[in-house]
Amino acid sequence: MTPDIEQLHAEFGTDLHRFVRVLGASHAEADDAVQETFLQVLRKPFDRRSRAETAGYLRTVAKNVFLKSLRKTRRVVPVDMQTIEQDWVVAAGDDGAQSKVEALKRCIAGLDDREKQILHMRYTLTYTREQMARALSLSDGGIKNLLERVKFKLKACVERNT
Amino acid sequence: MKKNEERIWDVLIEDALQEQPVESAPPGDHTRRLLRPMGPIGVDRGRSMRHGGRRKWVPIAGAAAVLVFVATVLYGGVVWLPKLSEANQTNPEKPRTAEEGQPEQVPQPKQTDPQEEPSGKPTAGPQPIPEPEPAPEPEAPEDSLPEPEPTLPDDRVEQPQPIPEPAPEPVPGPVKPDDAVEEPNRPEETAPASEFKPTITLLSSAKGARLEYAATTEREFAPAGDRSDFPNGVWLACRKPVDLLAGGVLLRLDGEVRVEITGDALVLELDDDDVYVDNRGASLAVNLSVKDHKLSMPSGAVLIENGASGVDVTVFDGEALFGEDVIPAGRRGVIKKRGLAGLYEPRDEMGDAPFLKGLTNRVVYREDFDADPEGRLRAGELADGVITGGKVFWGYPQNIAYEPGLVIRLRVRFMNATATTLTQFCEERNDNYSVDLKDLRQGEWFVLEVRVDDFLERTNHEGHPQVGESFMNVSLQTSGDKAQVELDWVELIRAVK
Repeated sequence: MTPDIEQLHAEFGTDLHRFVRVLGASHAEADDAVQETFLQVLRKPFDRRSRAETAGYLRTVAKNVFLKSLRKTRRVVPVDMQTIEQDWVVAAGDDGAQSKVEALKRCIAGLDDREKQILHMRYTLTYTREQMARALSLSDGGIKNLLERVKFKLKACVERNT
Repeated sequence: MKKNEERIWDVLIEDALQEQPVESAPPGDHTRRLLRPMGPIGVDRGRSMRHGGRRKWVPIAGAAAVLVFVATVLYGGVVWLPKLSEANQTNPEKPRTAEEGQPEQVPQPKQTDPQEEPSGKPTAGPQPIPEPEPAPEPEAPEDSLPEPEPTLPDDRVEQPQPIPEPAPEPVPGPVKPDDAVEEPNRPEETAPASEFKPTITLLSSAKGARLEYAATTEREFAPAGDRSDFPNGVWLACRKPVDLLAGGVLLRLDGEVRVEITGDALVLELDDDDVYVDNRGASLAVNLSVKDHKLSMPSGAVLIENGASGVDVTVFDGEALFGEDVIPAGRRGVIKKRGLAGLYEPRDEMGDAPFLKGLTNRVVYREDFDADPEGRLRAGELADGVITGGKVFWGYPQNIAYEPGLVIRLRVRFMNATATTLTQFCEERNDNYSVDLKDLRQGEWFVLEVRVDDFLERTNHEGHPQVGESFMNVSLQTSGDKAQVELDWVELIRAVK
């Protein structure tokens, strides 16, 4: 039976995209990996089972697709591959971590300007720690401490709000 | 495990930020606003992937607004400027305001009234290092130690106040990053030698440990039986973990090890087994050899696990040095035949490590200054987890009872400090205990370790802390021109019992 790709994509696309990025993919690489995953679903026989099983199957395909693409570049995956799927399932829940992202948005809105600024530099502008230190007139260690504190604060906030 | 969690959070935070409304971007940063029409940053979507088409009326409206603005300015210039000029000329006699009439005030240097200064307070200059004799110091007369106010006993750390100075400029030269090597800087001896005896003592053993010892290099082991003290250079073997004290260093051993205390180090030769070493505050570095590898631990809490493929070195506190490489706190170094293969996250936190189950926690008190310690900060500025100032001073959340062998450890960085005085107020004695330290490393982070037994009573410079006394607060006062200290964390750890 030909699977309804559009529905599958709507249901699992976000989860897959985020999961592949957790493995170290850029946005563009994650786009490619997710696209290739669904192409493989189209090419091979696919039986839709429970939601968890389907999500697990798709994640495995996406992971293999991404790892195969990595071999050419010899990049190192920034996670422990033995447990990453389990860890992701625990963290993401049933909605591809969308509820956590929503909670994070609310929590980020509650941060002060300085905290927002360092998050912005780290995650949006992808500054190095050295660049951030220069921009905020802090030491390298100060940046590290501040980032860790902000992340800890966000985690605690999300735990409370989800 | 933690690495995965961190990575997952990174991705989620990144997504949350990208989905944030533009208004939530930090003030003054227009990058996000500029890039927003192209979608999330980092995504190469091309023109065809833009969110919606560009609205055509926007540039037209913008141009119209600019035209209106320019016309307004021109009109104002032509019509209103001549009128204003005329109005000014018609009132030439108008008196000037008091401010205008006064000559420009030249800021005068502030005259400091010597009467305003407390009479007993010395001015600038390095602190004299106190001698054990109770002779009064010429620069610090007795009245420099005012009676503590009964209502605020917590404030009674008496330190000479430095003259207010502008913020010190950083010392030029390379500043060590946080992960750099930090060796504990031990103070000069101001008290009799340590009470730690250079013996090897059995503290406790797990059931069925079957501790054996061999005093010779041939390793002819004999059951330890009830014996608890062992000669220097002894080989020890056990089948389940045993805890040992060697020269003030706590060891937990499971396997076979040779233990020798030399002049300034504890030397361990480890067979294919595991050992935990905690030499914080012990004044003895630990040099360990295992599988032809040599590790050195100046001060810290380190677990060494032997495996088939290599040696895992987990550093919970302090650091371990492997040749030129440093394994810092919170990292697990894997050593293979060719050397350090990499640094990884520890498998467990210190409290969760199976091998360390049942081990007494040596940390009596620790403050990381991640937040203002509930109003207990009395001097210094707290920013980004670091307290900075010529003097840093804070109160303990509750009094900390003195016990023999207690060690205070502080991660600090000094700038222009010729000396520093570390002081703790003792409530029972109603006086301070302090120790003066000099020859401080400048411009780099390091862990300063001071035995509380080395503290001297401040008023007469005699007498050390006694059992039954407790400390209410602690301060670090620097001496020197533009001197300051940064304090990252402080902890008090107890001696191994």
